[in-house]
Amino acid sequence: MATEQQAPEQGDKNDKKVTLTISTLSGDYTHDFPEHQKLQVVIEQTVDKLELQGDGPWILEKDGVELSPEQTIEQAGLKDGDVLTLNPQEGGGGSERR
Amino acid sequence: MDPSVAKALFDDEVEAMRAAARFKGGSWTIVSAEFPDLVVELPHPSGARRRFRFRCDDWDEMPPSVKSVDIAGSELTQQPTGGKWMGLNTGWGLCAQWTREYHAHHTEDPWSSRLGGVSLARIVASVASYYRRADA
Repeated sequence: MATEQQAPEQGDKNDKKVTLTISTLSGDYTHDFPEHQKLQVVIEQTVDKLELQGDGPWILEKDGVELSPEQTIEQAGLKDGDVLTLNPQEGGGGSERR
Repeated sequence: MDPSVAKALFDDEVEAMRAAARFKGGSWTIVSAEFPDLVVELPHPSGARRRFRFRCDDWDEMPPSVKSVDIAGSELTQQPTGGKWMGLNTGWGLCAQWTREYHAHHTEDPWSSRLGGVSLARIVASVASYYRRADA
């Protein structure tokens, strides 16, 4: 599992941080994200940190509900400790057995 | 395929799945994993949850057969509907690549071309995605 507690972030330094774990087929990534961070950034950061293969698109989901990349963490109602899944969209490529 | 080889591969892949956060604190649940059957409970946007049995005899020479089951593990009469769930020449099933039902129906798209290239975890993720877009 890739875990990172300190990393440069975009946005207001006073943003409240939310610890999220993003579970992919190539491992899990746990990080403290600013709550005003867009989920698109969460996706891109996870793809980068875990070196996920494929061009996407990537589908971020919580409890069976697909989350819009345009939403912020706060708008999506995500809470500290939430576990999200990130998978390649069916019909697209990415994150196969390597 | 030698059943002991299929079981060893099944057990290894299930062990790796159990370590993933989606199955540890996430909303996906491994209900049971006794070769050849992996039963996973998956969430639907409606709030409903369904159990799916991935029958992995002959894994990974053959893809798993995927059926929705009840808490006793018996195939449900009411399988999911909508999306890619439909009548196939092997009965009602998920018409999506990497299921035994799909490859039996679409013989022009054989599983053998994917042999060794698709993990069980990837197939579970695929079924979760299609279930999300089906009727609960």
